[in-house]
Amino acid sequence: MDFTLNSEQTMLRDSARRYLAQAGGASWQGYAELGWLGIAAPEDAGGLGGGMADLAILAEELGRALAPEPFADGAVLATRLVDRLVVGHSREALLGEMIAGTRRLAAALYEPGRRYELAPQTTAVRDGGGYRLSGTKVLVMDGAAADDLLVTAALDGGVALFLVGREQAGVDGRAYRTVDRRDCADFRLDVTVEADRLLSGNALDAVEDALDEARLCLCADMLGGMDSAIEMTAEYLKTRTQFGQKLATFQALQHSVADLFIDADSVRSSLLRAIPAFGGERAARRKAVSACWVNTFETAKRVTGMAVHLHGAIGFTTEYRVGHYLRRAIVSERLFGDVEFHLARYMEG
Amino acid sequence: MNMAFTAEDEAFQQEVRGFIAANLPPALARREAMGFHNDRATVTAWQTALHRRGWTAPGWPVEFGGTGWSPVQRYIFERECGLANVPEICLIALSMVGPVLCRFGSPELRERFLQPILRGDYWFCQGFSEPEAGSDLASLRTRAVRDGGDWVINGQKIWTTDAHMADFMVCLARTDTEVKPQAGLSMIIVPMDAPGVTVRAIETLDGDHHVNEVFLDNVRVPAGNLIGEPNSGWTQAKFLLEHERTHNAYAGMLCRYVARIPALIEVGRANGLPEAQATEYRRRHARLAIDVEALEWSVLRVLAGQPGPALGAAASALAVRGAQCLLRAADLEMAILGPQVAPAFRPEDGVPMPAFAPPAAAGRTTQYLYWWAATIFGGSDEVQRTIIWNTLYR
Repeated sequence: MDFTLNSEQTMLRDSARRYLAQAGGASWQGYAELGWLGIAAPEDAGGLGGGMADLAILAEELGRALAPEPFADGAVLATRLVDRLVVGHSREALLGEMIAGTRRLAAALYEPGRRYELAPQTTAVRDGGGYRLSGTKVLVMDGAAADDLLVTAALDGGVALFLVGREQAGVDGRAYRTVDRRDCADFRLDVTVEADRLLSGNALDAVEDALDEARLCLCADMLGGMDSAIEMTAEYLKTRTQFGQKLATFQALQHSVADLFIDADSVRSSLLRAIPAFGGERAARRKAVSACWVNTFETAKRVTGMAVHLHGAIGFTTEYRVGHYLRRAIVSERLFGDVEFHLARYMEG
Repeated sequence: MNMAFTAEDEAFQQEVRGFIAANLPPALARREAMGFHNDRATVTAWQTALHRRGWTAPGWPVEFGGTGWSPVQRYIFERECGLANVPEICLIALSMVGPVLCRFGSPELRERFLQPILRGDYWFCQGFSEPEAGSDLASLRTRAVRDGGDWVINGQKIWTTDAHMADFMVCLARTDTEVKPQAGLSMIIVPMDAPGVTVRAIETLDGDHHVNEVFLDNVRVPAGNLIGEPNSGWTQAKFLLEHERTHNAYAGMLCRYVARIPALIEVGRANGLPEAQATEYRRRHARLAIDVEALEWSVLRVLAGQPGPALGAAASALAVRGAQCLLRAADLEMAILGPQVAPAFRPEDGVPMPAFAPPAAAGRTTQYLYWWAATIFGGSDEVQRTIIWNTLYR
């Protein structure tokens, strides 16, 4: 067993940290230029054929930097689904455009009143040579910026996946912002698509597999956020003087910070345990990912919330950075199933 | 990065499992599962079997009788022992004194002690803590004064685990009072039957006898019993404590709890536990299991020595998390058992359990109480938190 990063992984981590510190993380084109959009894509389509460890390394840096772009959704979930389900020439062409950042896809999986259920109420009905899709999708991260949506719909008792142009007539989007200021959209669908837009009539396994990779990316993202929030807190305590001495000299505060490290370090272990599970059986992987999700997001609220608390009033302002990790924790937890959902999934497995 | 078990690791796991099944006396496993401390007589057969197989001292260098296992193999062994209710045997001799002698001991001391320790002939206790030196170990006052070819030792030790059944104590004593506290300490091997050594039992909250007071009154030992150079005891003590830095996570023990709790809930269901409560307990069990799985990987990370300044801090973190998990696990078992955990029970009492108590109930409360000690021994949780702050953030 070896927990050390190889030289490529070290380079990925260091270059990402440098770039994000300088440029911020708000440029999808920037991600493309750095090759990040190709990590999840296979080499035969011009990608890097990266694994879960590579994705998690980058995601951790994105979380540390509070990068707003939907890496887990657009560059992992969507890319893996296209790689697996699109066949023929269009696969390489589509992946090529995704890697280059010139075409963005967003997965539209969840529906109102259905929480995290993946079996859709959106229906697909044969209509002439194509399909008519009807239903509503919610919480599509950066949906308004997407060129296409990957839409799940019920078809012949199975879960089908369609590729739907966002600007097509009958795709009615409503863009809004999440509380952590990320872009998001809901879609009302009443649209007819060509037959070749059906990617799979039985996509549930593929969606679950790809989702688990995206889920672990969000866990890594949050771990990076926690790490950064803890470092910021320790630094702040060393600079702020009250009662005639640095706050960092008070043992109560030192131990509070140590507790945050203890909890975040446990999350790191959950993540490092879940990464190799992607090389094994599906059931074990599902359990490991859900375990990581539960530990990550239960811990994240406490760690980032305490980071706000330990800063005092300044931490509660939007101008100050530390509170944005708390906001991100609350939103990220709800993107692909929340703590309760994943605890139940863990217990089923 | 390769963070998965290999085929060789899995084969090793089967080998360990098979060895335990063939050699662990069932009565010993039962006693251990009930949560009682063992004495030398109850573990002799097991230690002999381990010694025959060459598996007594995983942490020692191979040339002195160690196993040569990889960190992962060491962890697998600990986990399998935990799951199979294998008792710990003479932790202090095998996991602490042995490695110190291998590293710092003279050829004479190694010759005299290492093989008997491996065979189980010599048990050790650790004479570190004193009434006025607990977390602040360096302030200890037990004195060793050179007199001809001997050291003459005076002082008092306390919380000395196994002193009542040990053949020797590894005693940390002050040999120089003129230097700063850490620089004037030495580690000296003291025979427990030497004149002037008095052991007094301390009964602890769990109702058991494992710790003692030890009085050292003009105890005379040969100069050769001092390990290494005089006044290098602090370095040796730190080495000793760090050598088993993952021990206090009790990961194997926690795996045992996680594995057996579901069956306990089902027994409870058949004995009046309402389904709504059982559902809550299953949920608490799942939450515990998630944390224990993370703790296992924390142990592996420390054993594998994942580089970086965080390693020492990670070791402190897992000691704190380990104690937290142990208390949660034992508390959950008591919750499931409900009123059945109230009666006092010790195997030596020969008092039959009340009719309503299943065998699984015996020792549950005892164990829960014992795990509060895990928040103290090996460095209290507060000492660990201070180490984390000083290592990472100061």
